[in-house]
This record gives sequence, structure tokens and C-alpha cells, in this order.
Amino acid sequence: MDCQEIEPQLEAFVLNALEPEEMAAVSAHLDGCERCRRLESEYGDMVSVLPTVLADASPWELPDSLRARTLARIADLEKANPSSTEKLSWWTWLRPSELALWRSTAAVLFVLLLVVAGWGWQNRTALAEERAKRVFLQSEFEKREVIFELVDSQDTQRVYVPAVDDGSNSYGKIYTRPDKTGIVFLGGNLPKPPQGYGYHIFLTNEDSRYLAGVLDVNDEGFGLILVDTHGYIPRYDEVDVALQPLNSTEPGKPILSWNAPDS
Amino acid sequence: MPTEPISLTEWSDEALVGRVSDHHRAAFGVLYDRYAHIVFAMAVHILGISEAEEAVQEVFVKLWLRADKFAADRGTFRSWFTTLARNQMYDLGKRRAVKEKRFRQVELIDELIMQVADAGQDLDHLTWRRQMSQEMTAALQTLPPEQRIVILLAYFGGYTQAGIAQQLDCPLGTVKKRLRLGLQKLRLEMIRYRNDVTPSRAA
Repeated sequence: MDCQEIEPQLEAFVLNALEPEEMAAVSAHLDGCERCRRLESEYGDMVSVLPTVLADASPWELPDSLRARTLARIADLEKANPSSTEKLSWWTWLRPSELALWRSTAAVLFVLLLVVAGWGWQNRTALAEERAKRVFLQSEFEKREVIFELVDSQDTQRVYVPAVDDGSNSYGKIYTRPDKTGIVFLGGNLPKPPQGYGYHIFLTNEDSRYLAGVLDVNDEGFGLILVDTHGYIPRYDEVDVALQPLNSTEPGKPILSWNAPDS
Repeated sequence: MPTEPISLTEWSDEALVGRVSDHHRAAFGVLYDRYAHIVFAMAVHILGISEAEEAVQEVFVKLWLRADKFAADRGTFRSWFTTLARNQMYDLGKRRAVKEKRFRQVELIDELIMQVADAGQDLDHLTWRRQMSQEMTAALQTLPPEQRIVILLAYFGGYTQAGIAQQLDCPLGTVKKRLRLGLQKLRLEMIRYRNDVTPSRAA
């Protein structure tokens, strides 16, 4: 459609009074036409005064107490997830509905499985692992929003942590974001640890090593952990995973290990 | 040498929403103070008083969560935010089955606007926002009623042109013409008001 066809529709467009297909056609034209966009913007700015006209004419007064309640609601959102924006809103608004809860869980499972599958997952164990991961992820239900944000984003940084032993098919994957706190660590094909043992994940950043968390795995050798980094954006140039007694603070011999290419 | 504004209350809406996208609560509070009464009026007159407070909260939660979606190169914050608020009202209206009452609600809005006395007069002592509102009120009052009502039905009622034609029981072509002429006249009136009033303000 050219400008001559679009211009007569701009007034209705800014009032959102066109049919959906007409709205889409005008919107597509505006994306590529500076001239029409300028006129649309002028009309849009003009009609945006209408609510102020109404407010000035209306006898109703805004309750003073609403400000505090609205700010409290914002504070609650922040508490729920200090750094989230759009995705938090999506999950938050889905929360009241049971149906939506299941949808959101399914979405997390689906995305995680896609991520894992897309990363060289071995075909012969794929189905068994998938089943195991489903079961395990369901137990991580409460953490789903944070996990989702960390593993499924354009900004997500993923590192594959291979087994130290060439003959082992064990692996780890670590997901972080440069703009968010928290770490998701995922381990696969790991032997079930003996009683009192766990997979200790050590991260090293500029020669400073710290224990990020302890991973347990299910019977299928799969485990996932969400590490709270207490408000800090995680940085690391080395990852080591060692099977050792619980409560260990110093790393033992790693079974999985990764070093940043330039370290 | 440029200086920073002393207080957030002196910042433009566009600067404030930039801070809100970084989760700056004080900037959010200033935008709330500027716009909450406007959103509240929309909510009262579109959804009804019993739904209004909840609707205002929903709109401002959306602002908090979507502030990063605002694009300054596509229009003003006011335009973006009032569209967001209006869409939220429609959504809530659909859910809460107030659809049947919409036409009557818009008629009441029309009556309220027409009752504002001396709109557009003695603007000099008013804030810029109030001036804009007064100018628009006066411009609306000069429109033929059949043009004004189609604009209000579209904006506050959420009707499409076809929906308005159905409500008014008149041809779609007539509605399109009224809506177009009405907005064009409003635009010209607003330009005329600005041209007329600006020299006296400068004096």
C-alpha cells in the first residue's frame, strides 16, 4: 500500500478503530515511511490528550492511598525477582491460574530440553535422559522463572564442561547472563554419588576459587542446580566439578573441567 | 556547561521512563504522580468505580515491567503510555463484561466534556499540561456532535469504525468520514489555539 491509500486511514489508526487486518497494513507501511509516521505521531500525540481532558472534566478524585498500594505492589515484584522485566511479568500474570502454571512449566521444560538437545546430546541416551530430566525439572518447579530467564535468553552465556577422562560421557553445562545474578548448572551422565557425597562445583575467577554449589543427580545421572549468587553477576574463567564428601570446601580431583580459552 | 536537573520532578517523561526501565522506583513514583489521576479517570469512566483502583494498579505494573519497550523515536511517552492504559482498559472491560455498558459510558463522557465551562480561556496561569487539556476540550466543544461522538466512541469505547456504524445505525462510509473530518478539525483547532495563544503567553 502506498501513502495515498494509507493517509486516509491514519486518523482511524491512531484511534485503534480499524479492523485488525487494516491496522496491520497501516502499521507495516509506517515501519518504512517516515512521512506517514510523522503525521501518525502528530495525530497520536494529539489524541493522547483525550484522557487528560476526561480527567479534568471528571468529578472523581484519585484516592491518595492508591499510590502507596501501587508502590508496594512494585516492591513485591522486585522482591520476587530483583532484575527481571518483561519475562517476570509474563510469569507473574500467569501465576493465579492453575492452567497457566502448567503451561509455564511446560514452556520451561520444553525450552530446556531444546537447549540440551541442540547441544550435541547423544542420541542413544536421549529418550531416557529426557524422561529423567522431566521428572527432575518438575521438582524445580518453584525456581522455574529464574531458570527460564537464565537458560533461555539471547544474552545467555553457555559453557560446556567436558569430562576430564576421555573415556567418560559425563558432562556439565553452565548457564549465566551478564545482566542477571544466578547460575544454572546442569550435569548429565554422572554416576550416582555414594551416600554422603555430592558433585561440588567450583568456579574460579582471576585466581579466586569458590564453591558455587553441590549437585545431586537422579538415577539417570542427571542433575540441575540453581545457584544463588547473592546479587552478584557471576564471573568465572575456570569450572571444576569434583565428586567428594558433602560439606567439602576445597576442591578434590575434578571429573569435569573447563578453562576459558585465554586463561 | 550543561547541568543535571536538581529533582526528578523536573525531568521529562521520556527521561523518567528511561530510569524506570532500570527499575528506578523514585522515577516511577514521579510518573505515577503525573499520570495516575488520568488513568484513574479512564478506569472510572470506562470500567466503573468498583474496578478503577485495580485497573490503575494493573496499568502501572505494566509500566514498570514494560518501560524498556518505550521507543522515543516513535512518539512521546504520553502517547505510548495512554495507549498502553487504554488497551489495558479494553482488556479488563472484555474480561469483566462491561461491553454492554460502553456506549452509555461514552455518552456520559461526552456530556462531561461539554459541561466544562470556559475551556480554552485564560490559559496563561495554567501549567502546560492543563493548557493542552483546556485547548483540546475547547476544540472538542467546537466539533459537530456527530463527529465528536465517533471520536469518543473509538477512543474511550474501543469501538472499530464498523462497530460504531452498528451502534449508531448508520453507513460505515459515514462513520469513516465523520471520524476523519473530526480529527482533522481537532488538529487544525489545536494549531489555531497554539498560534493565537502563544504571542500573549510570550508577552
